[in-house]
Amino acid sequence: MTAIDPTRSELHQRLTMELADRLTEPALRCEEGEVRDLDRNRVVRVSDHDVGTAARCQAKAAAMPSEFEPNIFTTSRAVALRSMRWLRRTGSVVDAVGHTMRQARRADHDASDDAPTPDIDWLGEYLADPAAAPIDVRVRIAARATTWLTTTLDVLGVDDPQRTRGWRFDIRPRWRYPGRGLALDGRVDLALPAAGNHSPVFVLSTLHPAVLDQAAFNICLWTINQRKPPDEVLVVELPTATLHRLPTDELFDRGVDAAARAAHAVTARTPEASRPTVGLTRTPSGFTCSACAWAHGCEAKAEFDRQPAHRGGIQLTPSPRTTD
Amino acid sequence: MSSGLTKVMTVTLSLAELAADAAPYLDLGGDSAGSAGESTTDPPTWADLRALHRYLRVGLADLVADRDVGPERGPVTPLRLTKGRVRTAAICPAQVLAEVNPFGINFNIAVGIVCDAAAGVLALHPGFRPAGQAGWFESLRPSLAQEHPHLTEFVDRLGRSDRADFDHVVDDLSGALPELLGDLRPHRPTVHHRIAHVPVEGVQITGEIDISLDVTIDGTVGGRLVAEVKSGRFNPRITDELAHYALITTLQQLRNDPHAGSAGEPDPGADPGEPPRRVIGCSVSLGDLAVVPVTLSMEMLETSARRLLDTTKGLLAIDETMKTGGRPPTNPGDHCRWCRRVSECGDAPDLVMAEINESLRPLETLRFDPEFDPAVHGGAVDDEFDEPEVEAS
Repeated sequence: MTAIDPTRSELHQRLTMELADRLTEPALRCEEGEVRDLDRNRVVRVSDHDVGTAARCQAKAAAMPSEFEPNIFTTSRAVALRSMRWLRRTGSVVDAVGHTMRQARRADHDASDDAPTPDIDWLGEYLADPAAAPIDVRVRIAARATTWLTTTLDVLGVDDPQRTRGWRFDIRPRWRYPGRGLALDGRVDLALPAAGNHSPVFVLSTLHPAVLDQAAFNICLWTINQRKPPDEVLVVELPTATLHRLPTDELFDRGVDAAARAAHAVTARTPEASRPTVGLTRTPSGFTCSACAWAHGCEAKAEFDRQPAHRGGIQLTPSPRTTD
Repeated sequence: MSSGLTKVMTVTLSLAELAADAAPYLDLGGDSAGSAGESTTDPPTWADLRALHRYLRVGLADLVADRDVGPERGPVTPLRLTKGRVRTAAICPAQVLAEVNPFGINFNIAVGIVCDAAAGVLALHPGFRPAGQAGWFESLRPSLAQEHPHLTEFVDRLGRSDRADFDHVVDDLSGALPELLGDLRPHRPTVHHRIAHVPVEGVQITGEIDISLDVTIDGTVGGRLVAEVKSGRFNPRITDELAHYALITTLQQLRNDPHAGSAGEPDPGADPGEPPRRVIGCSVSLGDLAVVPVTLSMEMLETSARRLLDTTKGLLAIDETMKTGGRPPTNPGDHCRWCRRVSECGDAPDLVMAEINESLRPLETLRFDPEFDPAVHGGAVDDEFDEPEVEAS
């Protein structure tokens, strides 16, 4: 592929063409028809989560995903993002998080506020169920959300909640393959107002290359939806409390590559498969293999487990990259 | 009590009260504005932080320069310098190899985890109390089952008498937390916050702070309070842990260094800008029923940095040994009885092996020994940044 020139004003059109070209093969495995016209369960969706999984191990992304279960780990980020809406009104992170959780449980959003997010149902339903989310679980979610939000604001240098005016939260850029039931669904945590534009912000717990692939994928979708590239892309790295500026000129090629890698894997999923499709890249690691449906019969994992460094447990020595 | 480089005192105030006014506990060696003195506890300046960072960077870069990572091996896995690794490396370098073994839990560790969780809940919900006849463990069971499943399994396997003992101890210790903590919500709390600093590429210094708070000094928010919740009594090792966290937190502030862009040393006449925020340590020691503030000096941060260099040296030596199939260096002693790889090591003293072979269960018999610390002896895994891979739909 020719490198995508990020300076071109019609970049979004070029990106659309590149995606259509690179995703032709996986798209042909999907139902014919426009996504908007197909039943929901006949559309293959490639999320930014799939992109991250495929970047770590393409074969793992080809396994059927387990059903989403809300819990402390999977809800705190959503709570933190929604809490940002209430920051200016409540004046403190703790109060904003508390307000968000009460609102979600009551599911009676203030109509004057931003539009309800598509996730409100699952989160509100979960938090309102005393068997699924008793009080200690809710407080632990609030604690994680508070920590996430407090650190994010610190890194962005925001000491006054009033300075969050104009921020946008939890943005969902997307793109649909024309004529096929293939949908790319992205996610951007925040967007800060800039001169005539918004700067997308990703809040990350690691700068692992797979996570940066996800960010690149999301920026491609953002650019297509906004019809222009962002002037700057910011990353809040939570553990190191660091603000990074990603070089935008490298993101577009990387994002298209990441989308293609994930689409190949996701469209190869079949409920009956006992092993991944031949040709998908395998990159075992302790973390990647821990929740993988193929782990038991994976030769690459077996080889990884035989490595001395892994036996020693220090994990100083990285894993080899193999292709099945 | 003193641990040499630091001064500590046991106070009767709550953590919230300490955060609201920390000036009396800073021990600046002069007035609380820091205008006087040659005290070793003067707060670090930007120049101090730059020097400390440079010291770490140069030392670590030198150590990791020859790390054997061939192009066929893919991206470098960062070398993690955790609190646990720093401590075990100083006792016996081979203890780090126990990380590959399943996480070991015992009575003391279980008590500590529940108290930690209780403190985390109270930080956001100071009115939380066990419901009805339920104790703290049962009241926290749903969240513990998600965050520490090995803990709930361990407790459920306890015999009736041990279980009653466990509940009694947990309720005693956790019951003291509401008063010791106070209402932390006005102080911008973070709970179980995973922190890291990357001084050079390929090396990551990490930790997890139980509770951190904004701290007010002389009426203005002037720093961050880093608090550890301990189910035992205060001991000097806790100071080392707090220094580890303070080092990371302090170095993270370099992003705000007003002279960050300067080539070389900044002009002495230049605007110094706002000084770095002060990092104050504190142990909530349930064994003492007390909040113990710890004055963290520049000297302590330097000591902590030196330990990181020593640990790096030890870990790289182990990695090299393992890659070439050699036997790792060990430092056998009484501490072997706490090591998770004692049975596979081969170097443990005969007396220790005899104890273990006779099933004396030393972990259980030494509960509440103030010298016992799971982070030293059990190798608690306290740093794991990756969350479960499940996506919100």
